[in-house]
Amino acid sequence: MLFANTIISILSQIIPFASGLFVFRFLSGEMKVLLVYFGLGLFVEVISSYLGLNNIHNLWLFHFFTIIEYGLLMWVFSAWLKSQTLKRILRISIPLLSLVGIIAMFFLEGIHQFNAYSRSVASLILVAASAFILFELSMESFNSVLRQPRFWIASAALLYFAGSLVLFALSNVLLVLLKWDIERVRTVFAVYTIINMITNLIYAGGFLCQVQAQRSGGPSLLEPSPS
Amino acid sequence: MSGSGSEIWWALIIGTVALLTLGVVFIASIIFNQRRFITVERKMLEALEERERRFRSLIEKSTDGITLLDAHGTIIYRSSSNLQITGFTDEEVIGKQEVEFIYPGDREKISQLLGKLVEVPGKVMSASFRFHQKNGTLRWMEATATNLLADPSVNAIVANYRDVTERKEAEEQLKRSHDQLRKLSAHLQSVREEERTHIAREIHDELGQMLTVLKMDLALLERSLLESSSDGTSPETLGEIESMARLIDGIIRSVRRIATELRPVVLDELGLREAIEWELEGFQSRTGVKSEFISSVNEIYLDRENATALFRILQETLTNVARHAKATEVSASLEIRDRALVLEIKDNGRGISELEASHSKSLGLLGMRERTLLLGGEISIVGEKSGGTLVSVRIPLHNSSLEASER
Repeated sequence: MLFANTIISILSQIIPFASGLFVFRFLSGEMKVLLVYFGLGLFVEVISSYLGLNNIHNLWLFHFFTIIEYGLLMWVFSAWLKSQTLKRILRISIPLLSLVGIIAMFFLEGIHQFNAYSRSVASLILVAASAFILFELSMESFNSVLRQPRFWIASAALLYFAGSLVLFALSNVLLVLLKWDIERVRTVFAVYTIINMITNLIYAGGFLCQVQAQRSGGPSLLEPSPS
Repeated sequence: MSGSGSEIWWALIIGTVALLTLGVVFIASIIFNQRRFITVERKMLEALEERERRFRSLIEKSTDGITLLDAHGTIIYRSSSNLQITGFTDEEVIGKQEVEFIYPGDREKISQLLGKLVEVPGKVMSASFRFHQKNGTLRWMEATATNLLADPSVNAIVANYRDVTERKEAEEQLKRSHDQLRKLSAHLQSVREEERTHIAREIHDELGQMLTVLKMDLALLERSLLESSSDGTSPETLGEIESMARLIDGIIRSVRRIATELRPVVLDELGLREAIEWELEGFQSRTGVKSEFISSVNEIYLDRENATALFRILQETLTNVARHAKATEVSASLEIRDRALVLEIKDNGRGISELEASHSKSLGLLGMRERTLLLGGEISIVGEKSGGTLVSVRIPLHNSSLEASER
């Protein structure tokens, strides 16, 4: 069961990465950054699964990954936003979140616990940023949002981080509650594999949508260039 | 599981489900709103496209040519009707200077006009110019250009033009016809004057002389009858002879008057100034209208045609005064003003109305205008607000006439 979950989780992580590679020549700069993010996510998923299956502590990986994940996603989202003020705030938040992550890692939670603080804060900001992107998209576009990669990526991020927010926030409490029974903790996290799978499919849709956008010469041209 | 553990589980489940639901609802509302936004925007765009199609068809189907020029006079757009008008395709003209296609003789004029047009935003200018069609035919164009460079939606000089060659040719034809008629009229007037002069001279010299001889013969006859008859000529016969002598005197006076009316000797012998003075005196004595003449020049040297024309205009004006004006006073003045001889005749009558002055059936006024135009002058006939009519004739003087008159 645990092994199957791990495999499904890795496979679902492969889908957006493979989709990105498949349409690589059509990708804009921001989408290429996202591809790096998914590549890195896959790598972390594989490593953490390997460590987990061999009963080796793997939570330290997520402390670092959260900081990198936030940096990459926030850079892309800030590039997509039109509001210069929001753009600036989001970019400033990248080093700030890194600081929060490092402080939590060494002084609050420790490297062998879940990074609940940084993960929760990062999820909250990413949910807000995704919502802003979707709102701006709905106001600006003559073409349907469904044809725009930004819509799919922002929607997936919104669902993933909103759906996982409570779990991330309570992850260390759950550890205590389940008396550090790692197997049961993994079972709880396996439920969230469903959310992960669905959002990964939506991410993949964002990559594939870029092809259509580039071929029609439409929406992708509307995407703001990174500044 | 303890009570707090259960609460944490519930918090986890409810929190996750709530946030996920919110996320889904938010995304769904974005899609829905955007669709509505698209519908409104699409309708607006369709309306805009419809308007654009309408205006484009107006431009494209118009027989007038429409060209857009930039600030340097370079053609940046032209409507399809230009092809029919000029024969040049878009590829042959777009990006080139408009003046390149204009007849060399008119280029300078159009360049200057464009220069002035560019300086003032919103300015509208019209001009006619000749244009070489692609097949080499020279055509007349009439253009109206508007400076819309400052209008961000146009950002160009909009030039509308049409081929007016046929109209220009008709105008030229009409002008030539007018000139011919004017020359014919001038010739006829000249012939008429010559004839009148000739007839006046014949009447005066021949008829007058014969009548004088007849009167002398009649006097001799009367004396001879008185001398040859011993018992005396009958008083009836003498009476008849005296009556015949009086009749001959009357005929002589009539002959002199007719000859003078036909061609006043004073005009040929003494000049225009004296002729006007003489005519006004005659007018006063004939009509009882008090007449006055003021002249700031002592001697006026005019050729015979000019002098005759001015004199005839004066005569026609005085005839009108006598017939229509109901005036009690008339004054005439003659002066040199701005290298032109100006004759003004003013009365204190009822004043001519604008309609009367411009009436096409007023042949007398028409004659006055024609005579003035033939001399290259100007005439104005206006009813004054204070009452009366002012006729003002202005005839340009040649240098020789001017110098001689000013001496």
